[in-house]
Amino acid sequence: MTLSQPTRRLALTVAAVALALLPGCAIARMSVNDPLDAAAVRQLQPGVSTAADVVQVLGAPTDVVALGRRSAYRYDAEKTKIAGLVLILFNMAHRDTRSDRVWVFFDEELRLTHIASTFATHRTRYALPWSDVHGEGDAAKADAKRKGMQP
Amino acid sequence: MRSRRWLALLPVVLGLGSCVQLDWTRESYEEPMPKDAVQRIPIGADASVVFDVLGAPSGVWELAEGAVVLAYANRGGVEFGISGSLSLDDSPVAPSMAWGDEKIRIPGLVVELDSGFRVRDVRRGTARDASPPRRRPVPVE
Repeated sequence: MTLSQPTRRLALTVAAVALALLPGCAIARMSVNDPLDAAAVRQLQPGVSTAADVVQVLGAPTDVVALGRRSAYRYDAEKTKIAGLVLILFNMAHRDTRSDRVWVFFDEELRLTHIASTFATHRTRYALPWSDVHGEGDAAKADAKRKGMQP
Repeated sequence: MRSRRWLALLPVVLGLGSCVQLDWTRESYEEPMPKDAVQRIPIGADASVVFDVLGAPSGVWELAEGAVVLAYANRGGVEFGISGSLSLDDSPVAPSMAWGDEKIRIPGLVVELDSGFRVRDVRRGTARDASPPRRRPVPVE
């Protein structure tokens, strides 16, 4: 197949521009702590589990907060994905951060009373600034792929 | 001829990069809260209702008499900015300018629980005006 002269010139120009932009591309991923295990958190039962059970299942907490006679442990993990284009005059980037976070609340006898959980590290996406990647339904699709998120 | 003119412009464009910059950034930090969150959390409800609607809070603080504050916040939006600076030889003056259109918001929601872990107040706004109450001061002996 032989390309016509204008088509070849256009293809060369597109290739040259793509090649010139390539060194400006930047992609990065940052994680703080390992993602939390949703299935393990479901093992904990308010009114039954104790602080010792929680530590056995989830390990050492990130933070311990005294709440009068109550107390709470925080567990968290964070994931950030950054995609960008760094040119000489013009820079653009998309930074997306989501977290897994679990708060467990205890009474004065260190028995579990409440659990608050959010699992979202798997929802982080690479994108560029013109696209809002967190539309309705995207979270459900991502949840379906993560182990332990299904009830 | 035209391509030579463009080539001649290239050093000017490259040189401009050292003093002028255009930035376009989109940021999304944490899941946005449901729009009807306040309506779904009735006063007097157990804290588990709050956790079902909003998930795990960003922060938890202690208030006086066993009360507790749960704080939720997320951040997101698009930022566009132009900045420029110029250094003049042998001059202490270095003029610079910056213009930006920042549409990044930090919606915040604060829930106050009483000592029985029941909702006694829910407030929503931006993080600036929905700041949680301060911690209980340490008692002085």
